Amino acid sequence: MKITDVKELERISNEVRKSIIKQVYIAKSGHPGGSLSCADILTVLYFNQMNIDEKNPNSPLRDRFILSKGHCSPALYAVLSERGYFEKEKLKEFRSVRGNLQGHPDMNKVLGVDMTTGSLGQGLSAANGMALTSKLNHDGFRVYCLLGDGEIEEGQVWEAAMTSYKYKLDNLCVIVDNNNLQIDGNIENVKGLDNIEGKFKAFGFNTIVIDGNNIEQIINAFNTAKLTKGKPTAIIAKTTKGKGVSFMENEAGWHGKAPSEEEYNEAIEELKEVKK
Amino acid sequence: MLLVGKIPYASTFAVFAAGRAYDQIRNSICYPNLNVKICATHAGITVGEDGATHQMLEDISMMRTLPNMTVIVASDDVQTKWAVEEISKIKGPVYLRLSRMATPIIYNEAQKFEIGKAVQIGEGTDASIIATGDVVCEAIKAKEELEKQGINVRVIDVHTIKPIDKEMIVKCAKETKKIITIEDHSIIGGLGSAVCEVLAEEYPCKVTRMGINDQFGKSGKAEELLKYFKLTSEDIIVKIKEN
Repeated sequence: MKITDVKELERISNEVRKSIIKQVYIAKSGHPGGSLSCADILTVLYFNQMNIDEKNPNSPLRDRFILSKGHCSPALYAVLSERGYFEKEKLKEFRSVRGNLQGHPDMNKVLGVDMTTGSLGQGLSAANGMALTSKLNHDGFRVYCLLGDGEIEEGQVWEAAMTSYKYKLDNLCVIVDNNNLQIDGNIENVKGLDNIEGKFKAFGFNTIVIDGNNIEQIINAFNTAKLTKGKPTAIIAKTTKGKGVSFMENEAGWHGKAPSEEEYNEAIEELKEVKK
Repeated sequence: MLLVGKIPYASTFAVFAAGRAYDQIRNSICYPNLNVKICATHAGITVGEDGATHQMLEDISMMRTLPNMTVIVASDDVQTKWAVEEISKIKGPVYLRLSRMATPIIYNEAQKFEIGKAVQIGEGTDASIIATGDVVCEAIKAKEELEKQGINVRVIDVHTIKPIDKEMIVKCAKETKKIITIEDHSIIGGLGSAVCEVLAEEYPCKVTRMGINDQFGKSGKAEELLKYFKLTSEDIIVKIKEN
């Protein structure tokens, strides 16, 4: 299933947003802000880009996706259930002792999750291993790894970036969800992450800067990454934290907080129709 | 890599393998139960001159507490060769602990080992010296010296710390008058603790733990440090003759 119609992809990403809000609301905990900012990226990956088949979920040759910013699991669970990996009914069990949808993704509990994540900064290392093996075995699959912009303050990310470059992992595509906010506030104030593109460039990556909430730009970036040979690609996706829910947008306070009933209703109302 | 068909073997000094990478081992290897083999070298005080920063004395403790982890400590060249290959047959994370010091070869090439089964050396009933890693040879030296003095002990080489050989430990407690454990590791959380855990539940008795007593290491030659921290065959003999 490859959807190329941008309008249809926008409709799906809007459904993903509703699902994120609903999961976090029912669980009364979770991370809506960063999940909403990466909803469009995950929608494009799972409905337009990745070579995957929900009917053959463990195919060794499938493309892999690692949600290194594992706290944004609601976005991953939303696209997986939307794609048919599991029943949407299960989403009600997000973060619940009754179910398998852990606060952070567990590859042994949820079909479709390619790597267990949660301790920030480790996903790119796992992605390197997968991409390297794909090359060694001539398997031809691609590996996608989504990092938070706050997450790239972790030193391990840059150790891994050197490895990606060393092995010329052109089948690896890193996406930085650059929403400018982390739990403690603006990334510039917390650590001073000036010029993310320049940093990845300096580490030998092909870099592409896009509006990460624009479906067409996301598709084009992934297509360019596929054509890039000899080095890994980093897509710096400029996004809006809380995207789609006006009162959550650009508010660090919505990093890890569940909406009240009133806020939930307001959010769902805002997401009733696809915004342009 | 293992998620796509290869078995990763990672190797560095134990102080970094278990210490620096603990979070990665916990969250990205043990929790997802991935088939990664960590072969940690330079464990214990026998690293020598590099001193405390490089002498890992807490790794057995940290690694054996992790769910899904198998913990192996090799005592000589033959056992090391066996372990490196054998752990590839286990499906799941393994921590293999090796030391830097050149130790005497204990086993002949035909020796059979089995993960989870300790090796019994000798049948003595005066004491059991339960040892692991690079001090197993000290235990054997002590056994040989004691024999000359008419004291008959057995040495138990616990190469698998987890899963521990409960049966062997309980058998020794029942058959011998004394239980002494020795390890090139902190006595907190290591082999000594593992043995005490078994005996406290299965066959309560006194256990004497030899090892590093809640302190950091120091610079010096490996042999000097074994003497300094009282981990030599002479120290074992003293303990056996005590009370």
